[in-house]
Amino acid sequence: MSTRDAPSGAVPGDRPPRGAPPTDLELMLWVDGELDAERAEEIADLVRHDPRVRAIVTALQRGAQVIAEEALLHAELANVDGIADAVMDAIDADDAAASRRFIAPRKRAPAWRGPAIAAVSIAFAAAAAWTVFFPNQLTQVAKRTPGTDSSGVTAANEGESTTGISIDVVDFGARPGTIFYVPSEDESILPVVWLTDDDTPSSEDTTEDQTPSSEDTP
Amino acid sequence: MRSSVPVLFAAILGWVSIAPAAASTDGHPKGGAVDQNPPAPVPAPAAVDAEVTVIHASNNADAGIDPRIGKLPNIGSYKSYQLLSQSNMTIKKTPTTTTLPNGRILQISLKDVKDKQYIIDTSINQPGGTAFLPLLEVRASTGVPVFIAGQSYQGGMLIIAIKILSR
Repeated sequence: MSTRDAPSGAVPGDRPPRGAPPTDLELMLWVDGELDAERAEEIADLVRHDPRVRAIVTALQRGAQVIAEEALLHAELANVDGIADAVMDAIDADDAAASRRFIAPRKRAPAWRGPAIAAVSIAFAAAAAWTVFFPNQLTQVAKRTPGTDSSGVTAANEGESTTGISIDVVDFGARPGTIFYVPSEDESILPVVWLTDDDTPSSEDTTEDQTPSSEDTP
Repeated sequence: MRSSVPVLFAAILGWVSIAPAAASTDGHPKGGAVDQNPPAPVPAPAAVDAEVTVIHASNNADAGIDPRIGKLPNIGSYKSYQLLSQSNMTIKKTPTTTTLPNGRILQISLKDVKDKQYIIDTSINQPGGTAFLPLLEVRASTGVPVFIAGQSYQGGMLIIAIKILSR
C-alpha cells in the first residue's frame, strides 16, 4: 500500500490507527513540523526504519529547501528589499517635506517691497506727467541774435504755462532779444522779454545814457 | 510676470491721479475729486482792463528802490528801481496805445480769450523809425504780469510790466 493513496490521516481530526503507514500529506505535515506529537513520533520512527518513507521525506525536505532558496534568489534579483527601502524612503521624504512646510513657511517677498515698488512707480508717473505737461518751465524759450531776419516771428511757447502766463509768439525785429523766466516771491515763474537797445539815445536822454552792461543782465 | 502686474497698475494709477491736476488749464492743481463736468464755455469779453507799469532801473545808488513798486522779481542787478508810471487801460480788439518815457509807443490789443486766458498782442514802435518790438503775443491770466525790459533810458533801462486785471 502506497503512502500516497492511503486514505487515513488525510483529513485533520481523523487520526489513523497507530502504526498505519503515513500518507503524503502526513509526511509533508511532519516535514513542516505541523503534526501532533504522538503521530510525529510514529512517523519519525518510520523514517528511521523505513527507507521508502525516509526517501519521501528526504525528497520533501529537499523540495522545500529548493523552493526556499529559489524564493530568496528571486527576492534578491527583484530587489524586493530595495523596493521596500525605496518606498520607505519616499514616505520619509514626504513626511519630511510636509514637516518643513508646516514648520518653515515658504520664503516670501518682504512686505515693504510691494508698496515701495508702487511708490516708485507713482513717482515715476508723476515725473513723466510733469515732463509732458510742463516742458518749458525754467528754460529759455526763445533767443534771437543780431543779424537774423527782422521779419521772422518766433513761436516762443510750445506748451502750456504753469504760471498763468506764457509767451505765444515774439518778433524781436532787428534787435537781439531773449525770453527768460524769473521766479517771483509767490514761487510762480514770470516771463521776461529782454531786448537790447543799441539805438542812439533820443534827444530827451542825457549824454551819460548808456546801455546796461552785460553783467547787469540776468 | 506676476511681479510686473502691480508695477503696471501702480504706474497707471499714478498717471491717472497726476494727469488731471497737471492738465488744469489755470496752472493750479486741483486736489481731490476730479471734476467730471466740463466747464461751461465763458463768452469772450470784448475788452479787459490791464495795468501798465513803467519802471526805470539804473545804477544810481542814491535813488534806491521805490517802495511803490512793491514786489518785483530780480530783473537785472541794478541798484535803483524807480516807478515812472502806473496806469490802467482798457484793452480791446482795436489797439490801445500809450507813450513811454523814451518817446516810443506801447501798443496793446486783445486778440482772443481762450480757457480763461487772454491773448494780447503787444508792440513797441518808434515814431518815424523802425519798430523796437514788432510783436509780442502773450497768453495771460489775470493778475500775472509779463515784463518787457532792455530799452535804454537815462543811464539805465526801462522795465514795462503788463498785468491783466480782473473785472
